[in-house]
Order: sequence, then structure tokens, then C-alpha cells
Amino acid sequence: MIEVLGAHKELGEFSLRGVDLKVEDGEYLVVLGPTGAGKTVLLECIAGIHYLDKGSVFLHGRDVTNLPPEQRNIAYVPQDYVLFSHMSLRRNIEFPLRLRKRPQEEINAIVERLARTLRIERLLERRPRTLSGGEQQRGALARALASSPALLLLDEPLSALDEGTRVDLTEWLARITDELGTTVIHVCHNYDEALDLADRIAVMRDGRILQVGPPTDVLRRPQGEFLARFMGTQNLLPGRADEASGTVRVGENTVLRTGAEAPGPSVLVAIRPESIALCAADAPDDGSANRVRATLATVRDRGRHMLLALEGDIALTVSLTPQAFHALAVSVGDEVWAVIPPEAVHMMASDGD
Amino acid sequence: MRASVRQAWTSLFRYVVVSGLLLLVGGIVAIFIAIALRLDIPTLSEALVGRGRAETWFSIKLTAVTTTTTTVIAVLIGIPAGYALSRYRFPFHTLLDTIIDLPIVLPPLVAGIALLVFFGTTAGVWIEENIIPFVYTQQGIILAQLVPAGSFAVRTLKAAFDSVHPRMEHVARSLGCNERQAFFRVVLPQARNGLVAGAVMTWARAAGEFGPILMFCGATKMKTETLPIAVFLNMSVGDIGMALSLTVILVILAASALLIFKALGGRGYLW
Repeated sequence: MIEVLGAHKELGEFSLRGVDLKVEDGEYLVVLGPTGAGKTVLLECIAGIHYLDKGSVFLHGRDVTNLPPEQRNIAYVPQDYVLFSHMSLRRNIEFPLRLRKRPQEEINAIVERLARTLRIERLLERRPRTLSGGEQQRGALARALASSPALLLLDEPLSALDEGTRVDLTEWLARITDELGTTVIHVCHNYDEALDLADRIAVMRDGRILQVGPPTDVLRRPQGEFLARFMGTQNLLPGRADEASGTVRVGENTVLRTGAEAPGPSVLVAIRPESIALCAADAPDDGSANRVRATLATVRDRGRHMLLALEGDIALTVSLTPQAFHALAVSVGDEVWAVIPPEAVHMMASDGD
Repeated sequence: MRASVRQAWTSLFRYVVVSGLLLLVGGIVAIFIAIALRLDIPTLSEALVGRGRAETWFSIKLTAVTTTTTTVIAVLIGIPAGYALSRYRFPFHTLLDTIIDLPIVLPPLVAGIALLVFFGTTAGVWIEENIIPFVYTQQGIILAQLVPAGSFAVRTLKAAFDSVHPRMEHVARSLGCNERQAFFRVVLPQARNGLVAGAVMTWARAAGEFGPILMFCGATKMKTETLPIAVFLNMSVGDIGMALSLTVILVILAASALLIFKALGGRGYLW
């Protein structure tokens, strides 16, 4: 288990302002945040490249706060992989093992096993410069894993890769870390990437961690406006909650039933665009969900989903699969019902962030 | 109409820019052609194997020995100093930088005078009498070359270390290297080409040194006569053929050093 307690660090324009983080053995934690949130600084402080101004880092109960990187057994893969260009890929992967003076047979066995899992057997004798981005990334991953680190730190491992390679590599990452039971802290700014890999997600901003939890929690129950927006919740409506009836009033005369208790009378309502369904204006109401009358204003084809803007008493953004949209047979200007299940109506304290 | 006016301006601009380049390159080439035309094969062979042979080969050998020694010393100092400058932030960094650059920018004569003055002080005299004499000696040549060449080496070697991103070291450290191992196993091999290029340029710079040697070691025939000193001595007695032959040797040396430097992808300042 790795524990970061009250970490403070000032490093030019980036800083950590009291970060607390706990990662269990074998867990895959994704730290998510916009550029400049201090994600890389956090990784570099855990790796020991920078020492904390305040706070501490524990690895398996051992205080490593003031240990140099080489004594922490934490592997760090930076954004640009940084394979050593003066040696072959094989030598790169052997590097941490040779440093530890392991016998050659053992080194060969480890390199072979990693190369097989990551499908880089044929590239072993090549120089890193001759490899593609995805191949370099897998090579860097193999090198990092060769010394069986107690913790693997990945800085934006997928962001420099093209779409196809990214999908492949996501799969490799999930598989190899699962297979080896590696504990991972992975930093990125793309929540799709986080949802693909994370056991838990920590959202970071301005050197602080705002929310930590399982992907579903962070996605569907954000604890503030920034978190909701950052995780792709476009529908944010100020509202007044009525605890007695379990409803919240948004807009002039729209009252929504909710699934949870309100944090206070004045709330910010967050509804994810994919949690809203549409039905035709003449569809019968079975009363199980909230229905909001609206006009379809625009339709945007986003490939995997259609993004619809609805206008009415409240403006809503709705995301439908192309099949669902076409089955509905509505066009811009038509009246529709927006169907919102009560459990999709998430309420946050309106001043909270 | 408007398009053609724009085109005319564009081509005028390019014309001006390119003619600047041609003027410079043309000027340099013209100078070398002049030397080549002035020098015929008999004169050159006279200097190399004929009448002037003893003096020519003496100065070539002296230049080779002194500059190589200077380069070795300069690189041995320059590697740690260049690495330190590249990686660490010092208090008064600008001041430190200025002090290092000073011997490169100062008129070379000044370095020679400064050395003479230093060896006139109590400390200097003590070194002369108890360790090794420098003033007007051949070992003094190395010292005279080292003053600018040392700074020059630090500059070019720092540039070589600058080209190795600190992240290389960070990764090496996280893979289990201590600071020393990261330097020898990763930084040094990564910077190798740049370091060799820097050494070559330092060598060329030392080979061309004249002012400090003249002041500090004197221009004594067959004693402190490096190639540039030999050119000076022969010009001053009117032996133009000998002087030109030695000049050509210097040009060839400089051109080869530059070619090696460029081929190794060297960068950084070249004063």
C-alpha cells in the first residue's frame, strides 16, 4: 500500500497543496485533472525526483519521504517514455536488472516473459529511435516492470499515441498490470482513458484532490460543479430542493423527483446527458420517471453518439445512441418528452466546488 | 496587378536576404582562393620537405603536443564544470557565467598579460621556483592556451549536457541508479557525440591561439614556435612563402575540426 499524507510542494508554476492519497496493493488508480493541476509533480514527488516541502510518503508502511529515487523501488514512466537511445531495447529492459546484478539467466527469462506479454520480442535488438510511439511505450513499460517495482507511475502513457494504438495499449496496460498484480498510479486528463482502466479515480485541480472514488461515483455523483463539468456532465441547473416531497424545482415550473437526499435547500442539479431518454410527444406516461416537455433545437452527430440540445422551461443536453435517435423518428423543431429517472437527478451543494 | 506587386516585393525580399548570404560566403571563399593562388607547390614543398622543413615540423609537433595536452586538461575540467553548470542553479549564476565567458571574449593579449602579471606575484614566483617554471617556456604554452580553451571547453561541454534531458536521469534513478551511476551509465553516453564535438573545437581553438602565447611565452624560434607563432615570425622576416604554407596547414586543421564538429551534431557557441 502506498500512502501520501498532506503533501505540499512548490515547483515553479506547479504545486501540491495538501494531497492525501491512499492506493491499495494491486490497485489501479487514475489521477485525473486538467493541465497544470499538479499531476506530474505529484508523480515526481512520489518517485522521489523532488522531495516534498511538507508531508510524507509511505510505501508498505515504510517512510520513504526522504529516500532518493533509487531506494524506493518505484518505477516511473514519463510522458515521453525516455528509452535510452544509446542502447538496444533489450539493453533498456535489462538495465534495472543489471544494476541489481541479477544472474544473466534470470535476466534473460524476465526479459523474454515481458517481451512476450507485450509483443515486443522482435524489436528487442532494435534501437529505440527506430520504434514507433506505441512500441516505445511498450518498451518503456517492460523496462519499468522488469525490476518488479512496488509501484508503477505512469504519466499520460496514452496521450501521445494515435487512436488505434491507444486502444491496443489500454488493453496491454490493463492486462499486464492485472497479470503481475502491479500497483499503478496513472495520470491523465482524459476521463475516457480513466474509465477504461481505473479501479478508482482521483480528480485533481490546483494541487488538490477534489474527489476520490470508484469510476461510477466520480462520474455520476460528482461533489461539485467543476467535478461535474470535468467528467462531462453538461446539464447543471440551479434548483431549490423540497425535502418533504423529495423533489427539486429547476427552472420556472419544472419539478423533478430525486433519488437521494438534498445537501441543503439551495442546490445545483447535475444530470448526465446519457441518463436522459427521449420519447415522442404523444407517448403515454407510466409515471416511473420525470417527464419534461421540450423542443428539439439541434442535433450533432458525434459518431458513437448523437448530442441533442433541447429547449423549453429548462435547457437540456441529451446523448443518445444513433439507433435510439433514429428509432425515435423526430427532427429539429419537434416537441418531445425528456425522460429523466429520479436516480439520475444528482444534487450538489450549490456553493460547493 | 495587385498579386504581381506582392510577388515583386516577395522576390525583392528574398533577393536581399540571399545576397547577404552570398556576400558573406563569397568573401570568405575569395580570401582562401587568394591564399591558394599566391601559394604554389614548390613553395609548399620547400616548407614541408625542403629548406624550411626543420622549422615547419618543429612547429607542427609543438602545436600537436601542446594543444592535445591543453585539450585533455580542458576536457577533464570541462566535463564536471559543464555538467554542474547544466544541472544546478547557483547563487550569482549570471556572475559565474560572466566569469567563465570572460577569457573567451577578452582580447587574447589580455590573457597573456594577466598570466605574466600573476607569475610576477609572490604566489606566482613561488610556483615558478618550486614547482615548474611557466614564463617563456614550452609548458607555458599549455597554460596560455588553457586560459581561453578551458572556458571554451566548459561552454561546449555544457551544451552537450544541456541536450540530455534531466528526465533521462530521473528515469535512470527510478530504475535503481544512484547519482553517479546515472551520470556514467546514461548521461555520459547520451552526451557522447556532443562531448567529442566540444573537445574537437576546443582543440582547434587551442591550436589557433596566438596572443597569450606571444605575451606569456614569447615568440622564440624553435622554442615556443607553435604554428601561429611560426606564421608571425616568418611574416616578420619577410619569408612570405613559408608563412603562407604554415597558414594553409592551419586552415586545413580548422576546416577538419569544424567538419568533425558538424558531423557529430555539435552545437553551442563557437567564438
